[in-house]
Amino acid sequence: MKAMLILAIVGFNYFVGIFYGIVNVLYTVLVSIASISVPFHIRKIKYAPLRENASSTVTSPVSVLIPAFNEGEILFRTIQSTLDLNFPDSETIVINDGSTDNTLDLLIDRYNLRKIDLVYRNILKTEPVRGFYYTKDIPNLLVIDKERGGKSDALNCGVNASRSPYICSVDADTIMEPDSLLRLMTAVMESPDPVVACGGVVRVMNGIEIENNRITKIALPRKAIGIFQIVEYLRGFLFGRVGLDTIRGTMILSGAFSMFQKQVIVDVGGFDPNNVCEDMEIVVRIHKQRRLQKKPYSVRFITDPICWTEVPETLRQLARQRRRWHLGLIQTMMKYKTMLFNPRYGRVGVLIMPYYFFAEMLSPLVEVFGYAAMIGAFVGGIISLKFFILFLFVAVFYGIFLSLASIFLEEMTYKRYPAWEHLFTLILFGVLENFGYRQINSFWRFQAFLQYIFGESKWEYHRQEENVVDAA
Amino acid sequence: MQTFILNRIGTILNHTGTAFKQMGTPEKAAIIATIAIVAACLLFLAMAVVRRLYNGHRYRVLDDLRAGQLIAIRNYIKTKHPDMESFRARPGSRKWVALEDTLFSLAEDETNRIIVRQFFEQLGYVEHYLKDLNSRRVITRASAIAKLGRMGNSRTAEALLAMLETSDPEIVAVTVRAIAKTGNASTLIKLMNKIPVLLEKNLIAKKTIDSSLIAASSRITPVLLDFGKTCSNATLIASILSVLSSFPVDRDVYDFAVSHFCHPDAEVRAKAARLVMFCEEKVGILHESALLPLLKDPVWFVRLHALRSLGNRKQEKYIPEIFSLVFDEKWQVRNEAAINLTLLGKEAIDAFLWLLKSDDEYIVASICEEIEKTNFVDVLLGIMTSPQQSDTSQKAKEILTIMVSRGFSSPLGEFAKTLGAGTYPKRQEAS
Repeated sequence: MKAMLILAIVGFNYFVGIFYGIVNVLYTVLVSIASISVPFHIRKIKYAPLRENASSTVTSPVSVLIPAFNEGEILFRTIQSTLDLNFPDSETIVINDGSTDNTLDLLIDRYNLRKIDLVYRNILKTEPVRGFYYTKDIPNLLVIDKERGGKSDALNCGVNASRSPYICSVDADTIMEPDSLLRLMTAVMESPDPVVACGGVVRVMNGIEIENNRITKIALPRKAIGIFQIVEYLRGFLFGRVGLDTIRGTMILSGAFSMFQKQVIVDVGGFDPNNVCEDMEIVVRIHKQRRLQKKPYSVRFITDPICWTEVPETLRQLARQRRRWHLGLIQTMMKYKTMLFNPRYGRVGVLIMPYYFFAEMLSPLVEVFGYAAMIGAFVGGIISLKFFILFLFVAVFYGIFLSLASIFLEEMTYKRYPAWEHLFTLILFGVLENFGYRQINSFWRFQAFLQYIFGESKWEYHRQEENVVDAA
Repeated sequence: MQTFILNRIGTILNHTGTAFKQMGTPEKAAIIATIAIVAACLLFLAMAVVRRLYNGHRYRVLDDLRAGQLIAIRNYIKTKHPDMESFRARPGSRKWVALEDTLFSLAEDETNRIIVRQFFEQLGYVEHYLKDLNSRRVITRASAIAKLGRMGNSRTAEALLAMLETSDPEIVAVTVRAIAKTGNASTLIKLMNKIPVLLEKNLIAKKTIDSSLIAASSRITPVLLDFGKTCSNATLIASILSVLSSFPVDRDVYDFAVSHFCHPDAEVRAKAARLVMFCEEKVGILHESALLPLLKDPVWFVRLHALRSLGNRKQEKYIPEIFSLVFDEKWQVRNEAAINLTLLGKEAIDAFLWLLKSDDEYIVASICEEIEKTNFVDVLLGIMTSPQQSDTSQKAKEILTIMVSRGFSSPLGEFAKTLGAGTYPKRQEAS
């Protein structure tokens, strides 16, 4: 019996080793691809027709959709950033998703809005709309007040009200850089294949200086938890997504900043209110539908359009957010499991879905059980202290290598953190995040499996929901 | 002391070497991997630091050079000093890069374009980038093409055209933009002749063609008209009509648009109708006999653009035509018709009243929506409360009453609040 147990533990340890070996090889491939394609893209930007498109009549109009729930005054700077966009034809649609505070009154007062009656075409079925608010002083701003239905429902409402061929979803606590939408649209316009969805980079806003709702100085957050997330975002956006995009395998576009062809959203039935991570689910659905219909399309991730968003500043909020993200990933993977290894869906089915399934979805399970098995094996005397320490060293140092590679890539390319102190602080946190932060993140993502199994899968606005819960 | 330290280091290395030899293969591999990772991290750090220091210095030098060159070139332009050679620099050097940036910034001013072109030609920039067109690296070629386009030297036209023979969409897009920027008539026509093939091979997006031609500015209008008159490719004609809409128009452009009202391709007809709208104000005539049939076009977006062109005239005599499109099967056309009626103001009150009494809820909703959005409701409120009561005031009141009964009560509700009156019923959401 004991021999069987030892055999099982040793076998599992080998499995963990091989699993991580493969995952790390994949990450290394993605880092290598990104280190070539990001600098290449930066050189391309130098001759991109941004100036021409900024004033061109052929640049497609875009509706910027901002779903809002109990956002209060934070919403003003988001709206202001969308109204200040360097873009020839955009409209901003704020969807007040049944806020229980004074968000709507604040908006009405601030922009001197007037209630009007519009014909609401409920193409994508949503919760009832209570009213439309508009001012002729800012004709490209529309506020919709509706009953609570969640972020997906609010986005669907915005799609119904939009009159543009493209919609851009933006989180209520996000600031768009003035050229961000133009940069996204330029990539869409230049592509010979129809780009049905695309997204840009999301960066951490905590700590940066804002005056009159505009970014004036870039700085690092004061709290360590914010800096850890900067390193994470750099890793996620600058090599993970870039690497996958280069092989045309973009599956996730951040809900904080992504643009879609409106007709495609309507064709696939809109954002799914039952998925806690609507941004990933809809992209996978688009892939699935387009592949089945054999229509040419592409989904792109582009690195130069940038928006800044607030990230959680407490462990509790961060844990909720990470559980939600991972739960969304699990839900999506389970919903579209028939696409896994299915050649009918091309490289999405054969390469990208398996990557997300094994390397992203299952990795917290393997990591948590792997650590437990390794500690168990050490305590049980199955492996020596020397081997145990070496295992930890390799695991941790490879994590450090990936974090530093992302910071290095940022430094070589966009360099949004210009001060010397930024560089050294980010490097320090790139090292530190592998001692505890990464492991606790894996644990939160592991908890998402429990939530999935036990059915706790309701959608949440992470920060505001927290406030509501706290207030209660 | 030094010998002692060296001995200690030697001893430590010996011990480490012995310990390493005694280890098993997995342990050795783990140690080697760890050392490699740490070395890579240190390398990252060192490269980041060195790069920052290097770039900091480089940008300072470039800034200084640009500032100096800007003054020198301005003096050169002012005094017509013959010594252009003093600006010559080795290709790729900082002086070369700074001068290129300075010249491009000076070329932003139309008056400097010719002299800047001479600078680029005489100082070897054109020759240098022509050589780069043969580079095997896509990014080098694309960058050279873009720069040659910005330099606007007609000598480069043929070389640029040759770049269209590639199968790389990146190169094709940059080349189309560059050729359009040169504005050279014969090159532009050669480019236009190649576009159908490029579109067919999916090497370029239609939007890229449109935006490139628009960026070339209105000086290419005659070229586009000449080419358009003989062109048989519908996509290209639609593109030309679309581009011409962005430029100042004249009688030739107007005639060109009108000549495509009967084109078999719907997109061409729609773009022609749209172009006429821009021509109307300048040219001041309207080919009613040609435009009015487009209002009955089987394709909805042709009807939409024809309606916009007609509505743009804001003439009472077109009310019956606009009125008929309020019943269109497409909401976009219905809304446009409603907007056009509101633009006609008081003249359209009878039409509104008639339409609001319709049984078709979509028509009524479209009309009510546009009356509110275009603030025509304020005009109606003004007429209704005017001290001089007339037949029109009565009709305005009737329209507002119907709107309230259909749930479009917000403006009147607000108005009533100001008078201390009660509230009005809410409209049910349309499905």
